[in-house]
Amino acid sequence: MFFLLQLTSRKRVKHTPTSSRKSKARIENAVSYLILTVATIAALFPVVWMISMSFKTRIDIFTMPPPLFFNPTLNNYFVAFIEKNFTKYLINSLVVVAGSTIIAVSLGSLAAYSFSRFKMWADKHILFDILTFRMAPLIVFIIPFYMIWTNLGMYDTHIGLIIAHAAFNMPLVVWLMLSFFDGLPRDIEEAAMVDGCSRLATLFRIVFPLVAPGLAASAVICIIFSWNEFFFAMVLTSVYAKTLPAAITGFVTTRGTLWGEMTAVATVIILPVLAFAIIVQKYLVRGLTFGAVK
Amino acid sequence: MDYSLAYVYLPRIFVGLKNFRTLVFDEWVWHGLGITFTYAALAVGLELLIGLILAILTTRNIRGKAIWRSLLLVPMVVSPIVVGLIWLQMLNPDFGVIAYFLHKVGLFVGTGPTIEPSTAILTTVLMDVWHWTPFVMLILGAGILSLPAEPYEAAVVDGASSLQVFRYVTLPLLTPVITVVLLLRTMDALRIFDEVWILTGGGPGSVTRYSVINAYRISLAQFNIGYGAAISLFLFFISLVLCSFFFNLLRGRG
Repeated sequence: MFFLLQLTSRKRVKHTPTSSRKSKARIENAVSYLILTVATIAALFPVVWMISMSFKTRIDIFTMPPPLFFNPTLNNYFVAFIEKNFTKYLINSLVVVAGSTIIAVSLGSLAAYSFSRFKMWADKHILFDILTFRMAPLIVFIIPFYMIWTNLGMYDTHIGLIIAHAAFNMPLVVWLMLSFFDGLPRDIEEAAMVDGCSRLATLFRIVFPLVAPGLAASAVICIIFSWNEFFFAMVLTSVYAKTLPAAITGFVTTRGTLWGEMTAVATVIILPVLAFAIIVQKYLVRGLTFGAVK
Repeated sequence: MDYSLAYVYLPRIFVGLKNFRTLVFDEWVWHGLGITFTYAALAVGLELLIGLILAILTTRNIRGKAIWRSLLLVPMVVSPIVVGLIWLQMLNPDFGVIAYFLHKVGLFVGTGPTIEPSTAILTTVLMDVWHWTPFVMLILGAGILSLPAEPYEAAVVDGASSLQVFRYVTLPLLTPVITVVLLLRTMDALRIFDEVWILTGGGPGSVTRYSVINAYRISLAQFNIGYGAAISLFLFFISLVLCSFFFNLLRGRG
């Protein structure tokens, strides 16, 4: 632990190089690479294991000890997406993600702009309420959603799940965009308005282009959460509008789990988000902390 | 059950505070709350410790910083339900890879870490640590990178040792970021559902029947919706307390 403490200072300060310092630095380096390697293996192993399993035959999956080399097969993907028609659930997922992200980002960013620029009655309380919607256990909202949707006939429809996901993602958009709007000087808008822009024209021509990174970050976070979301999808859908995360649990049956097909679907669930998240890493920090850490 | 909200054709009877009275004397609610807090404390504590170490290492002057960080980030974006399924597979006593190696060293022979009541909670904690340590690392890393350089130079000029620099410069400067991570992670851990639901389903017995799983079982599995709603409202009030801390952090000084 102690050498770790030294690392923070070493980063900033150049010491006079002496031979003993150099060898100490070399040991520190070796230990930190070792820790990073171990941590990376621990982080990646389950994911790699799961992906490799999706290319295994049923026999290879149940062989103990697990074989290191096997003949890869695409049969699991074929069975899952063609025979068991998981393509339908994939399309459902895409529809729900697109719909809920568009609603959450467009409404949420407009709301954030109003919170940032206008003084409203009880705005602080409303902001707090919005935050609690994102922080409370989802079950708090799932029970009313379930009751209302079944009574309105919106149970198991795309639009029902889209509204639920949008409601659950909107608080994050509002808070994230609020941090972006608050960081934007008002002078720019005032200059535009002096030059004859209306409030709405200012918003769409000046403000939104300036906070484009914020909109992108919100969209990214919304897409990831909506794509991965399970609890709402499980409770609010049954057959017609089921998304991939809700449908994948169907492989765990009383007569055993279909691991091959399950891992194939799981791979399809995680790979797009993985690629996405690594590309937009810098947005993730600000987005996941509601704009608290920049 | 003398009334039910699950059936539209039944009359709706006003029961006053009956559900909340039941809640106070319901040992499952308190059992769930107790293990949920245990779970959250263990998971968040471990995540902060490991996350801080990894954050320091990945912000250091090492080769391939971006690659290390991207690779370590992977578990964070895996869908919670997939996390549960991966661990369900790897811990399967008959043909899971982790169970296989545990058997090799003589642990959990004929059973599994999620089947033994004594280790079930710890297993879910470790799953959470695997899943969310990258989140802590990512945010603390961003925090460390945004620290100003001057205090470090001043501290070294004044002859502070590395330990003192960490204790009196880095930690105080990083406290706001650590608080954000702590609050976000605690709130997420307190509402754990997806992963545990698929891994243990609240079992063995009711060892890992965390609050939300308990509320889900009562409301949407047994369809005692009124009582389930009362329990979830109770959980909502608990999360309100933490939420108000976070709100003050975001907005309090503004």
